[in-house]
Amino acid sequence: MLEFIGNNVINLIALALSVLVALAGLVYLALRPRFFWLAVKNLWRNPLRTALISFATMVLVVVVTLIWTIIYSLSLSTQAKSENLKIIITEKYQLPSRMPFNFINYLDPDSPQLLEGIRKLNAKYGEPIYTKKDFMTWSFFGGSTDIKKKDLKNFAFFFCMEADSIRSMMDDLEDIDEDLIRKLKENDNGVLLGGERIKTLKLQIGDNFELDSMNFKDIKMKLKLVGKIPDVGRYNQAGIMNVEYFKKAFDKYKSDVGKNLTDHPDVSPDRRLNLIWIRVKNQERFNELAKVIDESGVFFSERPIKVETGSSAIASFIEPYQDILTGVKLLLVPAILLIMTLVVSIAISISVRERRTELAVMKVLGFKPMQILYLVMAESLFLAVMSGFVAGFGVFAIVNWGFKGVSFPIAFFPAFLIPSWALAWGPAMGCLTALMGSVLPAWNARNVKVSEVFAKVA
Amino acid sequence: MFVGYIFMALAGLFALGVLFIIFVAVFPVPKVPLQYNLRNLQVRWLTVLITALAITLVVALLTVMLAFVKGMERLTEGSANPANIVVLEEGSTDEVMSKLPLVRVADLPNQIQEFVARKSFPAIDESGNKVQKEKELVSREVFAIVVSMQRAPDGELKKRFLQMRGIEDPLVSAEVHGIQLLPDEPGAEGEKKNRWFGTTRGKEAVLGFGIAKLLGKDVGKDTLRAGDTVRLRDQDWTVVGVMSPATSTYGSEIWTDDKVVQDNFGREGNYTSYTLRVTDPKKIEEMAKVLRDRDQVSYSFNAVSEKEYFSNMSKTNQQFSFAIYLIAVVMALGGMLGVMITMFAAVSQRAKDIGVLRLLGFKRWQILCSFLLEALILGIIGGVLGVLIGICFEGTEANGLVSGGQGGGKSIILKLTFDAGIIVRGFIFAIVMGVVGGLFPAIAAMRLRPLESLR
Repeated sequence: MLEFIGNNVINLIALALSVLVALAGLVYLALRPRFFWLAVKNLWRNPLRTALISFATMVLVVVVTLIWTIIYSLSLSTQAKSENLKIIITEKYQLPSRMPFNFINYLDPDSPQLLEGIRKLNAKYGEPIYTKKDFMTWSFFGGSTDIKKKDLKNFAFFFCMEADSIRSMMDDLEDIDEDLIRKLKENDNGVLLGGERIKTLKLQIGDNFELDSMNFKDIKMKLKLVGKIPDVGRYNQAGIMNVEYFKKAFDKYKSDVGKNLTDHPDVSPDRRLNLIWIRVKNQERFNELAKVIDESGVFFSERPIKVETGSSAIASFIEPYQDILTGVKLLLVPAILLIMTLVVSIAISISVRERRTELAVMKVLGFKPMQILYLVMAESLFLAVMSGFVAGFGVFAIVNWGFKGVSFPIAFFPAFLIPSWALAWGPAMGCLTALMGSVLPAWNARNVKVSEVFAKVA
Repeated sequence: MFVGYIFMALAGLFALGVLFIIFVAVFPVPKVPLQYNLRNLQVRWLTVLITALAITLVVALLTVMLAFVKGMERLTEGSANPANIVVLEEGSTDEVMSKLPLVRVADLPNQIQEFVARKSFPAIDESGNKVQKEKELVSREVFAIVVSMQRAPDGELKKRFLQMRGIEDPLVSAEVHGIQLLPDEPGAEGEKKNRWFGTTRGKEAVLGFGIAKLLGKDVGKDTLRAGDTVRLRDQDWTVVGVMSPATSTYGSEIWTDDKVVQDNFGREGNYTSYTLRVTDPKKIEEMAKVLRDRDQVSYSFNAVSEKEYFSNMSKTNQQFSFAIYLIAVVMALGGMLGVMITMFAAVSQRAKDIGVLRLLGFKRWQILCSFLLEALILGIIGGVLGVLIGICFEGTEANGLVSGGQGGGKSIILKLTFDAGIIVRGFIFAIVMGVVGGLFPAIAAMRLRPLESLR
C-alpha cells in the first residue's frame, strides 16, 4: 500500500483534487443552488471569452497529458518494486548483452543442472523461489525483408522466446488470447507481430515472408505470420518468434554452408542469448538469488554476467535521456501550467473589471464579500474543471482507442498508452490553474468598494 | 507539395501584413496616433504584463529547446570531416552493429590506396632514434558500449553505459578525427601530464572532455584528470590524458588501445569500422562507391562520407525538432488565446473611442492597424523578454542521444547553443502570437459602426 502511494503521489493528489472539487461543486449546488446557477449563467454573458478560456485550457491539458504520459510511463518502469520483482540477467561488461545458450541450464528451474545454491534456497523456503512460469529467456533477431535495401520500412525485430512465457512474463500481455499462443506453438516458424509493423511490412495474417538477418550475418529465416500482438503500445513495432525455430535457423545455416560456427564472428553459439528474466516474490529473495548467481561465477566465466532488477536495468538504459526528461518535468510542464494560469487570470481579471458596478450593486443588495469571492472563483473553477475533464477524457479516448498510444520512440519504448490516471489529471490541472488564476481577481472582486464605484458612476 | 505552397503563400502574406503594420507605425502616414495605443497599454498595465508574460514563457521555452537541438546538431556536424570516409560492415548503419574481421581492414583495396592521405608522425626506429615516419591516415577502430560501475564517495554504486573506442594508432586516429589532448595544467609532472596511451595492452585510457566531467561528478570531483582512474570490468583503468573540448561526439567517449577493447569486451579479432582521410575531398563519393561495390573489392562494405554518416546520425535531432515545434505551437496557441482575450476586452471597453475615431474621419483599415499594432507591441515585449531569458541558458551542459533511428546511437554531452537563427525564430513566434491573437479583435473593432458604438 505504502509502495503504491509512494509511486503515485502526483496521481493521488490529482485524483483527490478532482474528487474534492467535484464534491465541493455538488455541496455548493445543494446548499446554494442560486449562487451555483448564477455562476454558471455568468459564464454565458460573454460566450466568446468563455469559449476562448475553455479552448485554451483544453489545448494545454491535452499537451500536458501527452507529455506527462511519457514521463509517467518511463518513471513507472524504473520504480523499484518490493513484491513480484523481475530480475534481469545480462552480460556484465558490455552492450548488447550476448551470452551462450548453455547458461540457461544453470538457471532454468526445471533443469537438472540448476545451480546448487538455488536448490538450497528452494529448500530453505520450502518452495521453489521461482518456477518455470517465472522464467523467460530472450534472444533478439532483427532482419530485413529486402536483402538489397535494409531500412526501417522493411525491418522486423523479434523477441525469440518460449511461447508459454508470453502470458506469465511479458509485461502487458497477461491477457493475450490463448488461441494466439496455441497458433505460435503449432507453427514451428510462426511469429506474432505488432499492428504497426504488420502495416509497415504490408503483411496479412497467414502470410509467409523471408527475413535476412541484420544482427546475425548470413542467417535467413522463412517465417509465417500467425497473429497480431494485442495493441498495448510497447509491442506495436516488435514481434515474437519461437526460440526453437531461432535455434534451428543456425543449425540449418551450419548444414547448408558447412561452416564451423565457432569461427563465424556473428553466429558463434556463445553469443545468441541476450537476456534471462526471472521473477521472485520479494526483495529478500532477489538479494539471495543475486548473491547465489554472483558467487557461481565459475559457471558463467565464459561471459561474466550481472543480476539486477528490471527497473534498475531500464533506469540505466534511459540515463542518456535523463536531462531531457528532467527539463520537461521541471521546466516545460510547469511553464505550460503557468501559461494556462495566466490565460485564466487575464480573462477573470477583465471579467471582474467589467463587472465592478454589478458587484457593487450585489453588495448593496446584501451579498457578503466572501460570497462574491466564491462566486467569481466558482465561475472559473466550473469552466476550467469541466474543460480539463473533457480534454483529459478526449485525449485518453482518441489516443488510446484511435491511435493506439502516443508514438514517441524513446529508448526501446515505441509508443505509450495514456494511463487511466489521466482522467484525473485533466480536471486537476483545470482546478489548479483556475484556483491560481482566479484567486487574485476574485479577491479584488471581494474588495470592490461600493462608495468608490458609485462615486465614479455619479 | 501543394500544401507546402499554400503554407508559403500564407506565411508570405503574413510577413507582408506585419511589415505593413510596422510601416504604418514608423512612417508619417495618416493613422491613429501611436500614443493612443501606448497610453492604453500603460493604463491596463497589469493585463498587458500578464499577457506579455504568457508570450515570454512560450518564447523562452522554445528558444531553450531549440538551443538543445542546436547543441546536438553542432556535435554531429563538428564530428564530420569533409575529407573522411567511414567504413562499416555491409548492411550496418551504426558502429554498434558493425563487425569487421581483421582480415577485412588490414589492407586497403588497391583501387583506393593512391587516394589515401598520408602524414609523417614522430616514431622510434630500430636503433632507438627519434625519426619521422609516414603513415596512411586510416583510423582502425573498435567501438563498444561498456558497463562501468563506480562507487561514489557516499557509497552508492553508480552504473553507467560508457562508449569506448579502441584504436590502432592514437596519433593517426587523433589526426583523422581532429582530436587534441588538453594542455597540461601548470606544474603537472609525471602521471599528471596528458599523453596518449601506450599499445602494450595496459589498462590506460584517454577520456573525452565531456565524459571526464561526467565521471568526475560520480566520484565527487569537478572532472577526471590524467592520473585518476576509471572502474571498468572490475578493474581500475588509468586515465593518461583528457581530450581538448571540441564540438564533436568524441568528447563523450573513452579511447584506448584496440587490442584492449577487443580482448576485454567481446570483440576478439574484430574491428567495427575504419575511417580514412582522402587526399581530395572531391574523390569521396568515388572512393565510397568502390568500397561498396562487390565487383570491385574482395569484401564490400557500407562506406559513406563522414558528413553523410553524421547527417544520418542526426535523425534524433529531426525527431526532437518536430516534437519541439509541435509543443511550441500548442503553447503558442495558449498564448495567442491570452492575447485574444485581452484584445477583445480592449475592443469592447473602447467601443466608444472607436466610434469617436471613426467620426473623426479615421478609416476602417486605420482602426484595424491600430489594434494590430497594439497586439504586435504585446508580442514584441513578450518576445524580447523570452529571448533574453532563453539566452541565460547559453552554454548549459546536458546529456543527450543522437541516433540514426535503426538501433545503436551515441550518448553525448552537449552544450545548449544559441545562434541568430534561434533568436529570429523566437521573435517570429512572438510576433505571430501577437498579430494572430490580435487579428480577430482588430477585425471586430474595424467592423464596429460609429453611431452604434457611441450609443
